[in-house]
Amino acid sequence: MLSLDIAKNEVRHLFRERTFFLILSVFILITLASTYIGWSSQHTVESVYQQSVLTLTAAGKNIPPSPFSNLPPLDIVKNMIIYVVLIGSLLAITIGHAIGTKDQKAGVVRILFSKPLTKKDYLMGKLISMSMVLFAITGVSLIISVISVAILSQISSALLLNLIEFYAISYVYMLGFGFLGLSFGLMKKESATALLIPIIIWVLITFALPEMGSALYPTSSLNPVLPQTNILDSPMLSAIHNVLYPFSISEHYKVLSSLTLGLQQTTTTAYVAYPPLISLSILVIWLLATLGVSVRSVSGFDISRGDIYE
Amino acid sequence: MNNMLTIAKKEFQDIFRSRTFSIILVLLLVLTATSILVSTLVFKSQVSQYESSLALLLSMGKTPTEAAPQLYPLNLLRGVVDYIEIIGAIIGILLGYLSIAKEKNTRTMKLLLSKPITKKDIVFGKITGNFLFVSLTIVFVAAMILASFLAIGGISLTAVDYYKILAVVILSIAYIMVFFTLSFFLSIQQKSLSNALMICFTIWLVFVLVLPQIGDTMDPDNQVPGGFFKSMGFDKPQEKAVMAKFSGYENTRDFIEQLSVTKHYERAGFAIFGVKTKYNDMPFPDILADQWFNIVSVFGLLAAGIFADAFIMYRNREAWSV
Repeated sequence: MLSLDIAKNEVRHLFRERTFFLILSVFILITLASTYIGWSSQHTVESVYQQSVLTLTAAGKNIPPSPFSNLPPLDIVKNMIIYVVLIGSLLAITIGHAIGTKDQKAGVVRILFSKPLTKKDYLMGKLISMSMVLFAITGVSLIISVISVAILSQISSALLLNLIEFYAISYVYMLGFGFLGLSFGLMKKESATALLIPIIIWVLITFALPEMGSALYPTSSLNPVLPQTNILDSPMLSAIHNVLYPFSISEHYKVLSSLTLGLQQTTTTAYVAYPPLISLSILVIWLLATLGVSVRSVSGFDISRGDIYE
Repeated sequence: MNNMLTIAKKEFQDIFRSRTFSIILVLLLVLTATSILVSTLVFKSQVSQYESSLALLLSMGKTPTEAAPQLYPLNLLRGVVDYIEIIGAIIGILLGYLSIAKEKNTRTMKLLLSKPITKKDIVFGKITGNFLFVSLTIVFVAAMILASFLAIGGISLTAVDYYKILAVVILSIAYIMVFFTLSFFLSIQQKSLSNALMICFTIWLVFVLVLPQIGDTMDPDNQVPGGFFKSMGFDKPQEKAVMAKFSGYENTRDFIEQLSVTKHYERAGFAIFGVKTKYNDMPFPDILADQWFNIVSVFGLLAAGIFADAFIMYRNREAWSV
């Protein structure tokens, strides 16, 4: 019961935070924009293809088939995969950080624990609020995507199910980052360090591991259509890939999301990926591991702690 | 002048002692080295693929049409530019934030002014101290680049290559300082330091990652792995001729990219290092002339940032009341 009271209080406080609304607005706006960007790009590239056909015909050359002729209906939301990796996970870190540091910033940790409150209740309250807020945000994004896909393309029960699956995977992915933000918010005595460490982990997962393991340049990993690479031709790169790929959470997330949206032909990595079930298991392990870090952080949490430093 | 230098020295020492920055610096250096290593392995893989294709063609009695991949050492630095874009901006934001946060947390702003120190000394002292730290960080990165080239072996740099590295070093320092001035400004302007940091990270997210991402994904050539025009067998002039019919779309895409300081930095950095192949054999002064707008944009934003910092420190009374 106490856990629920803490959770309610956390959610209420979060919705009073201006900065939370700022990042939330960016995420919602980009969700709105992503389908339009996808739709607009799709129409333009189709026209570019038609124009290229005219040029080839005039030159009397063979005309290759259009690479855009059989695009799946959910192709227009493919950018959302990248926005979850970029904005969604940072939003989750921000929420986790805000929930983790709130009581310390207000200097009420000692008062709270003077009541019949256990560390377990405290952690449960924080975890519930974190999960609920992120669930609500993911739900809003899902509704926006469904409406925008229905307006700009088509929607059916099968496509709706695909979108729900995609957002469920995204929720698991983002929640892991949320738990990290929460853990370091509880662990660290300085607010900036508590925010910085999960951001560094995010940089490593989003950019460094895909580059080291799959030879993807950091900015190339921001494009849902990945460049052609045949890295497995190099024994050394192949060996590095085999070692690092299991830990490359963002790549597993991208592969799984692409599959659920039906984009496997154009957006998955060009090299050996794991079967979907293994990628999904890795995402679940990621979530459990970050949850474990949260449990550990609260077990070592000093209940006599005073204010947190900025 | 002496007071300003004293503040600059104190600022530099504070950062240098901070564990947070040691961690970020080590991270940047490790990523620099691994990025060069991965690029080298990719290049070697391309060469070996070319050689096996060549052997196959020759065994079939055919003549190869494509030239062998040529190593331009600075091309291997694409990942380094990428990391400075992302992590460099984070360093700038944290430096600006901590520079003000430490004064606000310890309530030393008033104390500073009770001494014979002017506001100008404080503002420019802090900017100078942080500038020196950023410069040192980027010099370390440049040293790591040279050390990585040495370790890989078989890479020789020309005098022009060194000038190019120097040019990107200067540009990188200016780029990171743009984020420093932004964060410095917001940390003074906002009542809550946490809010300032979050706003900075939101701006960072939008301008460093989201806007360049939108621009990139709107590029028709990026819609097919390996490039759409390559899949159609088009060369550059043919590609340009086709895209001329879509000037409105291309201008919008370009405008979105131009909104981001990161894209200006990236375009200039990629041109100088020859990541865009057309710059590989272009004389260095011509590259600089071609990229003048991107270079001026980065330095222009830095100048605007310094001006804004000085302005808010002079005008904002609240900044001095804590």
